[in-house]
Amino acid sequence: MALLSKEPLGYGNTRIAAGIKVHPGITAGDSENLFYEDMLAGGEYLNNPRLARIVAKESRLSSQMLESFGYTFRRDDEGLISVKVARRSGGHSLIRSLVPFPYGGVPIGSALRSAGARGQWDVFEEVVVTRLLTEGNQIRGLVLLHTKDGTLEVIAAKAVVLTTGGAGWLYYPHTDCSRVCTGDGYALALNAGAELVDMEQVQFIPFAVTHPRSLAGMIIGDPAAAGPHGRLLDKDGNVVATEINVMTRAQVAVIISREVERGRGAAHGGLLLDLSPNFASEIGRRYLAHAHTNIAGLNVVKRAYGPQAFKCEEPWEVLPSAHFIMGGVVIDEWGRTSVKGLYAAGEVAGGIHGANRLGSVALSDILIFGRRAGEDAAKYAAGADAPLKRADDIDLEHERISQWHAKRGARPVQLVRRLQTSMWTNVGLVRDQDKGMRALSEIDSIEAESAEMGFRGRPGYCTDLQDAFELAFMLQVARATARSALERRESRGAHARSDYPMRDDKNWLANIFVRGVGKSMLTAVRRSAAASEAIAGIRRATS
Amino acid sequence: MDTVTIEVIRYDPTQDAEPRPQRFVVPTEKGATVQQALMHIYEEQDSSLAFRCGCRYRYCGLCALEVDDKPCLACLTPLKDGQVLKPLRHLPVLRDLVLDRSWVFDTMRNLQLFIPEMEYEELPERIFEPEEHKRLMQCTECLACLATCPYYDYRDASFGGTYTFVKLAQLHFDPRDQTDRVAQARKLGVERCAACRKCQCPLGVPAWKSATSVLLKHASSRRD
Repeated sequence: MALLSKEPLGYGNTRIAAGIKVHPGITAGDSENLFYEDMLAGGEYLNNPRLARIVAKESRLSSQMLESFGYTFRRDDEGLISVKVARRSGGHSLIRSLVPFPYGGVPIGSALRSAGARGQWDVFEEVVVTRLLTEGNQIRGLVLLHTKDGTLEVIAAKAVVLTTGGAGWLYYPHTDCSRVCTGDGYALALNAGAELVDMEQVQFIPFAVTHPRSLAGMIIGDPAAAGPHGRLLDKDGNVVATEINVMTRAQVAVIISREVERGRGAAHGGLLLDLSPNFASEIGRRYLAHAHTNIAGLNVVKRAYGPQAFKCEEPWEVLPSAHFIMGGVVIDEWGRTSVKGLYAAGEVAGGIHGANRLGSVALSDILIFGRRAGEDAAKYAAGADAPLKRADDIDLEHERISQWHAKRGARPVQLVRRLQTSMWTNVGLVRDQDKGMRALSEIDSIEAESAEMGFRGRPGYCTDLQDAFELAFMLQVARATARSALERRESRGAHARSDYPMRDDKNWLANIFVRGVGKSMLTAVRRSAAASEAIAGIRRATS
Repeated sequence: MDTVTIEVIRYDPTQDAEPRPQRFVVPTEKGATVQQALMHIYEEQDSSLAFRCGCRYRYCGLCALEVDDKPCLACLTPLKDGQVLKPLRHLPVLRDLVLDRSWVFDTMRNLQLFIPEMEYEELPERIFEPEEHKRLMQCTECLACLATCPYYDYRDASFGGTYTFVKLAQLHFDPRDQTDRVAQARKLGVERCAACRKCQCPLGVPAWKSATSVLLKHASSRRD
């Protein structure tokens, strides 16, 4: 068994998370069922109900998992995990999210790495997996690039579990994700013949920094960060939204982008978040006191906008930032994809969160499906035939690299930046038919140019080389996202269309599936498995 | 456009006998950081420049380097004219500003820097986490502390260095851990730290106060 990581192990995207983790059942009246219903209502019934059910059932178990790795949840005065150390996170109907103090996911990242060091597996750090190898519809290994010295290697494997995280980097600088999140897993899965679902569902955290450039995209907070009385203002100080803290991340993101598109944006292209009305009431003041000591987002505000802004007496600019991809590789309850021996777990997997992930659920999801995929992959591998390497397994990579060294076209990073600009503009916060078509034509054009891209070759730490492989992944993910966004002719969850501004339950209680690569990529629409739950849920909500 | 001139110490082990300085003129603006300058150089001026970039703000621990001989994080360091950028001292350089970090995971394995495996039922329900543990767990493992430690050298296995002492102290304060971390620290030369106190963390993790000095105190009390 081997553990592969693009960065040195443990330095990835999980440790930069806020560290807030769902732990249902600590508030009186909470139940597995209530949590499940919250997930489906928040996900606007695009969730795979079986996967959501598992998250509801195993979230407490996943907290134990994390503590067994060496993490310690914050405790109350009695030394217990309880509602006293929790808060209501976005989209949950009651308090069930454990909040760390000090704030941040760094200790979670460290615990995961410690657990990684406990086992006797091989470890490959600083490798880019360039391709999965298959025989028919079955995994037989993978090809990887060692970024340290530029060498390629083939690993024979009966089973592969993708835990590559998301693709927030598609929207740089409008993302709070790490530079490694270039969507490798989605593209590897597509290339191997697996299917993606609902890739149009990209979660933007509504409040992020607009300037200076060094901090653009950094997360300030989700709707709860507005406090009970925070409000959004346009450039002239007109009130655009109040009671923000009860909205979903998607709802707030859409409000901001619609106003900005209407030309109501402030100096750096965002809206103004005004927390000062919170000073007027007792609960508002209590919120601000809490925020000033407990919420890392306000430290980002201090750094970006200065100590005066930190006081929250005056409004400051905010813009949404790509945070999480709800869509992803289609999996079953054991993380199995449609390719035999290929598994996916964590953000790279799709269907769990539907059209909107509730706050604090990701840190459960990664553990629950990581464990399930690992267990099943081990069982599967025990019974599978030993895979064979072939002499020509690396030829494709060698060929691509020698082409890049020979050609004199654009550098990969230039094409990456072009793609990111287009994704933010055309497949960002609010989409429409024209934007979708523009995105696809830009993807085509960048793909064509990427055939001519070139750079000087050198053996070790050639960032151009990593960028070149990643660009190919990003193009696939961009295409899948744009195609799905064009396909979904309604607004639902994180997907907002100005030409179809309403949710359309009659026609679109349906998932969008993507298969294939490049111009032969295909989409298919199938009725959501949660459709019947949706009808019951909608009835409950309206009664 | 406002610009600043900075110097980067370059080193390619396949070509250079010695590290060599190279000057770059880079644009600057209010709030510009060293990280931003490095990204600009790579994108616009010199594609061969090697450096690490992770989360762009504070948490991932990848972008540590020395600016004007001071260990820091590139993402949190304001860009200024005349700055000299170097890789962290005392650590193996792969290329330019990029350190080899593979020894970190090896160290975790060799010193068993983890709590023992437990069945979920055996996990304590009640935990009173010491304040020191909470603070030490904020370590992002950026390794900048090792560049502030006068005794550390990656080639010298007899001395642990600040990072390792912080990891040992995390476990020392962990109620679930059973291993004698003080004995490990003693074996790794923590007593050499007695008259020093130079270890520093760019993020304010109390490496001396809550890690090295605690291990040292316990180690010294065992001397007889």
